[in-house]
Amino acid sequence: MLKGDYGKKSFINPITKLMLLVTLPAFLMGGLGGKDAEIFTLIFPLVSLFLLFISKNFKAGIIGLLAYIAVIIAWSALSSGSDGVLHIMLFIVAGIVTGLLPCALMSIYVISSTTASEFITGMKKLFIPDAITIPMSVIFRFFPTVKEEVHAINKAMKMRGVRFGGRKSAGILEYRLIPVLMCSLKIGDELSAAALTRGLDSPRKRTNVCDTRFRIQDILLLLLCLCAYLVWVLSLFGIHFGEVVKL
Amino acid sequence: MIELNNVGFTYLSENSDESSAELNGSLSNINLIIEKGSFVLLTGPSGCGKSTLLRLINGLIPHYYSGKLEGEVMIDGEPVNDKPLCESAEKIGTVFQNPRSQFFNVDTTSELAFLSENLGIEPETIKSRIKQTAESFGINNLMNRSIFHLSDGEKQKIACASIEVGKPEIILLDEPSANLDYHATMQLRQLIAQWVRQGRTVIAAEHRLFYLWDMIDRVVLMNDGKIIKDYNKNELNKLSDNDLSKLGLRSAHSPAPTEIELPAVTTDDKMLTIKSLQFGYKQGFFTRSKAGNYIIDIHNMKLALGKITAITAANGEGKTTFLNCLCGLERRSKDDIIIDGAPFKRRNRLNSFFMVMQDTNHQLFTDSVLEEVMISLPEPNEDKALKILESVDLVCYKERHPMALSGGQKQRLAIACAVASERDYILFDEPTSGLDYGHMKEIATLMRQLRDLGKTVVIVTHDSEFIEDCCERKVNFASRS
Repeated sequence: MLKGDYGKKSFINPITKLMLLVTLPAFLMGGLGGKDAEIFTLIFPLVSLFLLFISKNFKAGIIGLLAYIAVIIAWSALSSGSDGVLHIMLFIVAGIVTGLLPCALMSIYVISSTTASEFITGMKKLFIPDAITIPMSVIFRFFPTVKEEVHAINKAMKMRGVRFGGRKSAGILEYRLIPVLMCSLKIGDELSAAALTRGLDSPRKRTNVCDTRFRIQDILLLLLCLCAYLVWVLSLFGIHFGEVVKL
Repeated sequence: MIELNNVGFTYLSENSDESSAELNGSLSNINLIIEKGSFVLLTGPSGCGKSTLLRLINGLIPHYYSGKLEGEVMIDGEPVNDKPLCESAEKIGTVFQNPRSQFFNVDTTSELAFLSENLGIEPETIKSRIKQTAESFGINNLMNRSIFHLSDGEKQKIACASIEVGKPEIILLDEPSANLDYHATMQLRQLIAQWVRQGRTVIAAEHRLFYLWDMIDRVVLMNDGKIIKDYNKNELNKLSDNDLSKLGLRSAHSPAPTEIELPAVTTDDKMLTIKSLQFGYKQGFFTRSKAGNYIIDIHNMKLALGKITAITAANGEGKTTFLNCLCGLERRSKDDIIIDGAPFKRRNRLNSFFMVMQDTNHQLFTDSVLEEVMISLPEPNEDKALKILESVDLVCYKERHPMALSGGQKQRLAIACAVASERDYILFDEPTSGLDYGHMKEIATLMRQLRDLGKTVVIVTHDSEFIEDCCERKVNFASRS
């Protein structure tokens, strides 16, 4: 069983992940670079799908891929022939799926593939203070915990007959929220106490058993992001990427 | 050496309703000297202040929990209060009660490395320490796993291992077995025995005595925030279980729950027959569970109607899932359950079974105790609700928020809801985990009351004392039969 090497290796470095998390929404949802950066709105979704598949998260990957393809086909097939309300609705759906979905997929990848320890080390390398890093690192722990709690609470509600259509259906949201909040608060409190007895507040320089060196895939992805920003900056100065290529 | 001189502590009232409900846990006038290398057990009823005492030693008081502190706590001649927590962390390791809330990381290996990483130890040293710990604790099979896929027993092992990697001189255990079944508790015992053999100082706060009893050097008995008795090894050996129960303590010699002799059903019993019950989680996104891949695969289990039946298992696997299937919560369970010669379908079971879960926090939703019982009644009726609350001794709390009750009170409230639901079958998942002798007795009495109301009570439990006290039938459960 012993591999001699503890600590799962992530395919990419935490810093690269952070960079992607900032860059994707900026270009896909924020529309940086406009027409000039259009090529990146095709590349970035592929990057997030690729990362999901390489980390063996097939469920999210396949659902994402199918949704993406479906919307692109629908958009190209229907957009020219439609007008009015249908056109606007299609436009909104297509906008959400092509813009928001890749960003959501990237977040899923980052949260499922990063350990708290990797994240803390990455943030320290970027000189971000502990006061920001530590609370954020709990997120990796928090989502799966809340999911577990919600699951247990849903069972309890079902068993006690709080379901849609019943006499008690009015309270369906309230009843769910109270125990979820209470349990999460309690767990958060106990978690902080446990982490403190394990030296979380130590002022010493933190070490890390994970390998967080930059590898070739990190450099390629960072270069990709850099290119995107470059295209944007150049476009601000009136140099348009599209025209440069044509020349 | 640990010294407490005239120590008193009161939690700040703003530190929530919770502390007041947990009967405070404040301490007064504690004088205690614990020698290096001894194994001390702190015990006493819930809320007697034993957890508070541990928090004083590991520095969580006053650094994390605030309140009024008097006196001083010294470790090896140095006061704990003045030192930052991270310095205490090097010397003292703490294992907590709740397996769900003591891991900062999502995977086991990172968790083991966490303490050493925080203290800035060289990665190579950390890796070799992890390797060493994994081998001496026999947990190589648990490395590199997601915390969320471990059983409670496995989580507690990882918690022990994560402090062992730091090689602490002093080990504090805060009810580490509260959520564990018999099998997992005995495995925990082996890890603790390793520490005791190596001459570390171990201080455990526990209700369950049997798994530690023969290793203990000393028992400190507390009540109401004071030390009331201090037994050394010789005095301990003279105590019988009878003496212990007079002191309000759990038995020191519990047999394994599977070894208790009770009939499963007798010929006079009316019964519910589980001809077969199979359940498997979906394996992956594409693969569905196949035959032979079941987590639960039971045939011909009989439960007596109108009796209190204990369900015990040598190994805790799948017990909770079994209860979920039995009361119809698992849509994917394949079952064939017969009652009065007719099949008992999942939909019907959902309306005839009530389950009191192990963590009652999950099933109390509303904002007052009375409301909680009211929504459980088939038709709202305040008089009826009050009568039920009276039977579980909670009428005086009827306006309270359920989350502001103590653990034992929440349990009683959940039982009140079960009564109010007017369902015939009431299932319990480990109702006595983490309860002291007095509360355990209370729950046993309530079980008998439920039976006298004509309910069929089925209890999944690993608590031998509780089984001997109130159960009339016992089924040994194996997730695959």
